[in-house]
Amino acid sequence: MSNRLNLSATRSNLLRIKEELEFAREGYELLEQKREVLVAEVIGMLESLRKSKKEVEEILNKAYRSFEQTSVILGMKKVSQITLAACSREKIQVSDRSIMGVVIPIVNYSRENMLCNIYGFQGTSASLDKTVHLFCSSLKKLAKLAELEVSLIRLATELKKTQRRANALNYLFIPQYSETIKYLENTLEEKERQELFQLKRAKNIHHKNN
Amino acid sequence: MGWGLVIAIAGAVVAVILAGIGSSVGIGIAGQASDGLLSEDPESFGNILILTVLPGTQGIYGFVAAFFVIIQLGLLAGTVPQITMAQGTQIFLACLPVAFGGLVSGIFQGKVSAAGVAVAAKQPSESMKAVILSALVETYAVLGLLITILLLMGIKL
Amino acid sequence: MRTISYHNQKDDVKYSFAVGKIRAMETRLLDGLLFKRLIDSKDTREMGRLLVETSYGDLFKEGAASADFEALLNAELKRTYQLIKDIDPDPASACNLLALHYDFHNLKVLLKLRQSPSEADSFLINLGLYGPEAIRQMVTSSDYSPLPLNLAKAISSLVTELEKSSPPSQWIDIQLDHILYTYLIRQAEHLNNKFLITLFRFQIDLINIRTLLRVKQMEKEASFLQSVLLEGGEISKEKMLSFLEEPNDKLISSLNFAPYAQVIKEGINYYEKEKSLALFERLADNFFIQYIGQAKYIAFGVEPLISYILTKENETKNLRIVFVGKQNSLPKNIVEERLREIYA
Repeated sequence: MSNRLNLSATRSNLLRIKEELEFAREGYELLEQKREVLVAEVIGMLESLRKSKKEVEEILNKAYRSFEQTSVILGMKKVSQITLAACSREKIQVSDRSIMGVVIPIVNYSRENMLCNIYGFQGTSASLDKTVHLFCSSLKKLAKLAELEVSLIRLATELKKTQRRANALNYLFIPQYSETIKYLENTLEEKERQELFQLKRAKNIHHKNN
Repeated sequence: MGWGLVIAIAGAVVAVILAGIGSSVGIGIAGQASDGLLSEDPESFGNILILTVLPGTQGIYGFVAAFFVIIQLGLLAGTVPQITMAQGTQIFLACLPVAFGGLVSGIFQGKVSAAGVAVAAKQPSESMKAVILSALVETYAVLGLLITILLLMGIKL
Repeated sequence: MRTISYHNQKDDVKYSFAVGKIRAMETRLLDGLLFKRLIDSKDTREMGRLLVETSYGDLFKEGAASADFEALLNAELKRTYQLIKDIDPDPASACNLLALHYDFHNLKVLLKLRQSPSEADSFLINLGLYGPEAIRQMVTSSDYSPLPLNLAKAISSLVTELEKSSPPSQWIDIQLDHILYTYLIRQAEHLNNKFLITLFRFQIDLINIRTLLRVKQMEKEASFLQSVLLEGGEISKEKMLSFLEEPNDKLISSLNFAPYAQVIKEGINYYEKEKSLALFERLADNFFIQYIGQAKYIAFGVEPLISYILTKENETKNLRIVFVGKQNSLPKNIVEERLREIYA
């Protein structure tokens, strides 16, 4: 089946299509470049995401184990009483940057003071200090993880889009246009030949008649 | 009737009263401790009965000493004996060992018994040892009584 | 452990009945064997079944949700305090001092949540000399006159300060701890009870040493340490402050002759190795169990009553450790490591 465009075979159409094909080729070239950059970016980020994920997992694992032990010593009631006063003094700022036109977030995490300042020393245990410290330091890592994960998702979506566009150009648009051009050229040539032939015939008849 | 008799009777009275006080206080202390144990564990009554009763002997010793005095004086015979001042004082003094011995040892024995109740609570099978310790205090009340009796018998009327 | 000698000045014969009763009740404290069985049990439900056969029987009887064990353990403590109050011949006895820290817990909760008092309910502990309701009353009406004069004054001025400058909540905890321990020491001195004075002094010392190590770990400055150290211990505040700049070995060597030298030596050595104060905390608790164990030799006086209350506190603490461990299915050895010594 022919997937050429249904166009009347005129010279102006041929010119237009040729121009468009040229444009498509250029676009494909550009998309291909963008795709390469994105792939490099995603691969780089994937590595740091994996690392960050592992770090978060590790620190949360430690923190929860420490929390378990603290609640064993102090009892849940006491622990929940202590966390009563935990008002968060965290500041999370999200700003943007752009890679190849993709907007990705930068999460900036800062803390005014440590959570350890919310309880007194009598009747609380040192393992509580450790738990609080671990959870506090996990927050910074969590912010980094969130940043990486969201960036990666956005980049991957963009990559997919770019890939699809490039493919569309490469496998659909460009062949279609090339074929159309070939068809148009053939048709036009045929027409020209026909015209030429007709002209010659007309000339011959004209000579004979004369 | 002379003052000698008054002094001699005073001796008997002092012996009964002081030894009696010793025993009452002693049993009081030991009895409270035993009550405390019984309120939680009525089964242990048998174990602590002896402990509680032990401080009671001092009162009996006082009573025995007073009885000796009465016999010595022959008060039960119905005649009023003639006792000199010196004899009366002798009898009075002879009564003092059991009186003071009973008073002090009674109180302390009560304390030892009360402490022994703890032993009876923790290890009922060992409660006889607590009884023995408490009985050690008893010795000095017995010695007091012995001397009192010997002295009374020695006094010639 | 080196025995700590203290001299009991007078025999308090009026305590005979109470001590006799306590001795009988002491035979019903949970023993090590039962704790082993509790640790070996499958879940909290099975623990509840085991406890039915003990003095906790009526609390954990059929149908009682052993899941809400914190409430049940508190009920047992409440019962213990009530019983001691009933048999204590002296209404102004030293035993009253022991329940006071629950009132301070409730006070901390209510002061921290003074903006939204309705939320406080789930955090209050139904124990204490005054009880949560009385404390709530005091906080809402800002009238602390039911408390002893010293306490009322100190807390009133604390609350005034609180309204004025709304300091961080840690400040409330620290100030209340100061007020509580100052009061405890003063009352124990007032009652002239050497047993209790020594107990509180040692408590303050060990809390201070632990605080010192924790502050060091947090890398805070000396002025902060100065503000959190409790007063009234055997070791002066100045001496404690001087340890902040020294290595921990210095602490061990200079407290070599303290009665709790063993706690410090082993606890700190473990801390240096593992960076954990768990052993220190456990040894400190054990030290106090041994200290109150001396009351075994006292037949007349309030000491056996004090000792019974503290032993019961320790027992419920141990039970709670096992319960929490079972509930979170922690490995057996973790639970065992954390159990405090059992008074025998």
